[in-house]
Amino acid sequence: MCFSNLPLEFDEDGNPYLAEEADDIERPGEHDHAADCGCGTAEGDLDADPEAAYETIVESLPEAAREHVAGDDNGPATRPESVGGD
Amino acid sequence: MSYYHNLPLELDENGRARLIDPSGYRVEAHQGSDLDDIVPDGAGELSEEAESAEAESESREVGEEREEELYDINIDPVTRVAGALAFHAKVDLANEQVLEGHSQATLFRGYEIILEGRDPRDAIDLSSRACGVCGAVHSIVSSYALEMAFPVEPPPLGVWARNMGQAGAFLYDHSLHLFLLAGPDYSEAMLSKTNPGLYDLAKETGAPNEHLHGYETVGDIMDALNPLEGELYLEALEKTRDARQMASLMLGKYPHPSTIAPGGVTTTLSRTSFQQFYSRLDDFFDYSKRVAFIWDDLLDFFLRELDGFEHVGERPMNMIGTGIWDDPDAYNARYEDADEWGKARLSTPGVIRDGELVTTDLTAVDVGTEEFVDRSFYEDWTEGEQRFDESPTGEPLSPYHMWNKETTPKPEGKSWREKYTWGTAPRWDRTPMETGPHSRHWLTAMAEEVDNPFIEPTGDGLNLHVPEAGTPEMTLRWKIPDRLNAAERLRAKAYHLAYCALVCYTGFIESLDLLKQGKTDVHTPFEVPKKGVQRGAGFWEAGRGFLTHHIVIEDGVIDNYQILTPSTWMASPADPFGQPGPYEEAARNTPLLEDYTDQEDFSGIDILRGIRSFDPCMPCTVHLHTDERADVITEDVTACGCSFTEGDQPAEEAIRDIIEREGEEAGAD
Repeated sequence: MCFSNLPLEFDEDGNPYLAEEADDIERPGEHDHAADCGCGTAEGDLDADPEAAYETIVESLPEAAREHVAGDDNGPATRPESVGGD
Repeated sequence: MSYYHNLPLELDENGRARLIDPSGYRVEAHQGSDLDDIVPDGAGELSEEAESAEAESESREVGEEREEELYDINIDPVTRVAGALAFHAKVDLANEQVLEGHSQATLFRGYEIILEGRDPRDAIDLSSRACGVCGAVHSIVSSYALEMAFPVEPPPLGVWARNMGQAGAFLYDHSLHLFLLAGPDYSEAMLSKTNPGLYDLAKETGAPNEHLHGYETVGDIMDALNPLEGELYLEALEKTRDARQMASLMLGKYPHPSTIAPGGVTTTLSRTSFQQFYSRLDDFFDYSKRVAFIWDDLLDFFLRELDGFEHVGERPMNMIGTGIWDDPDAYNARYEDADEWGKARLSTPGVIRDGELVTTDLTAVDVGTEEFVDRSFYEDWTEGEQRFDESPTGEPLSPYHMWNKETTPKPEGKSWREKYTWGTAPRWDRTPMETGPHSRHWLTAMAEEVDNPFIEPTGDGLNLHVPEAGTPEMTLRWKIPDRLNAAERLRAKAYHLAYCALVCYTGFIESLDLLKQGKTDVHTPFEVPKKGVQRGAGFWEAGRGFLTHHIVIEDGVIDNYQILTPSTWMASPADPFGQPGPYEEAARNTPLLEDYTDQEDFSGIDILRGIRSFDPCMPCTVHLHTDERADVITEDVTACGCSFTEGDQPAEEAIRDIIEREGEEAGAD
């Protein structure tokens, strides 16, 4: 093959065509390269354990935001006085 | 019953449009071919015929104009990322009036032609390049168009990732415009040249909200707006970086994210994505509060102390929006349900005419929209057979609707009375409309459709409940103004930072709730149809407002693709009905308020403030030229570093001088 990774070859006119090795090429997504290099640890942790991810994220939030995330209506517990505009 | 005044449509008992008179869509070409209005093209060339006619009339015309102190003003370029924008105005300096205005897109983009015949999936990445500032909106709206055509419906977390990424991008976009592009027009550097008395007064005028933003006088705010060295200018630079990081955390990178796909996003989200997103959002809670109060104090001062400022950039209250930020419980990518999912958006779609809310139906926004090319360098396409008579909901479509439009460029000489732009003239119900953060506020406030704990529409305005961060929890109150002008466009944008931060926050909370439920999918697989004809429409908004992509797919490839941007609406030329485009109309309504004695010291700042309030996407500089036909005098009236140049000093050199000077001062300290 002319390319190191792509299964392409060229005919005498310079036109590309699919090489015989095409069927043996490893397709993207079939192998977790990120995990191989160790950089995949943080990535994809949502899929691995979404509830744990949720807990970790919530713990890192300031108290006011934690209340909003945990609150039933997700809104401020009390509305402050209007201070802007008008 | 009908809210269409000009289109041949009425509404049935279900509120759907139906055709009254098929011939009612017909448009008579405008009559105007005065050669004496022909001007050179961008290369300074005139056709021989035009040159001859020009020569006959020039001396007489110029002589008359001088008696009346009429001058041609050419603002060129008013650059946009998607192509150059120029503006021509005729002003009467004696009477302090703008008599004519012409908006001109000077470059042909041609994405519609590039996309024809391609795989539909290419549309996302290619159309994204239509703008580098709004570098996510086109890919996202394109994915919406494809979702409708295929069809495919994204999972909830995919919808929220798009919402959060886009709201983060708007935080960047609006900070950029407020402080780096428009802000310098209100800075000490500008005012000390154009309105020195006003600046002196500002230095003696206390800022009412000093306790919230820290600036003692309005003049101090003007100092902080100075390009390249002002505190607010430099702070905004930092904020634009933070906001782009927020967008990148959700969309992979910015601009031109490569994770946008029909059916959601392909971003690999992690717990750190959300943690980093929140840490930046927390800062924007504080920043957005300060920005609202800074612009309140600044604009109220201008409106109070500069007579006539309320007319700068003024237009009728005609606005349009497609709405943005979907509720995944409502959004299903189906045109037939667009009215429902449109109303469920965190910014409501719709139309406002003469200050009255006309509709919030997304299908009505779509069906009522047409594009005209009478004044544009394109062939009319309506002589041939109309491709689609109806929308997917069975409502009539105009031959000028985007699903029927064909893009055929026809370059020719420029004439203000004939053709003068590469932009088109979009109209809703044949009425010029503007769009942007102000239309998002206006529509959402009036419609009262949004049900959100932080964004509360009240019919006459919005209450924006901004959470505690470094500063206490606070409600910002934006009230629908009495008039639509440069000041109110900018004020709405300043408040819109808080709005966008609250969209981010809503998405953050909703996303965590999905995580808690184990719903981590961000993308739904899809297939590209290989046979038959499919069509789709993406309805989204750019930072500057209304944005649609309309696609027709035939046998697996793109047969027609049409992009309609907010700047196309607002930079539009006159239409076949004789109505000017929004920039043109705003310029004509603008009084000349700067201090000048003659053409030599006239800067045109009021015209520029009017046009810049629309946010015409100027990445660096605007040069204003005053000319009497052949002799062009160039004056710097720039929005950024170029205003620091002295004489012919290049901008790069001026910036280097400033940095060196600051370094010396720091050393002295």
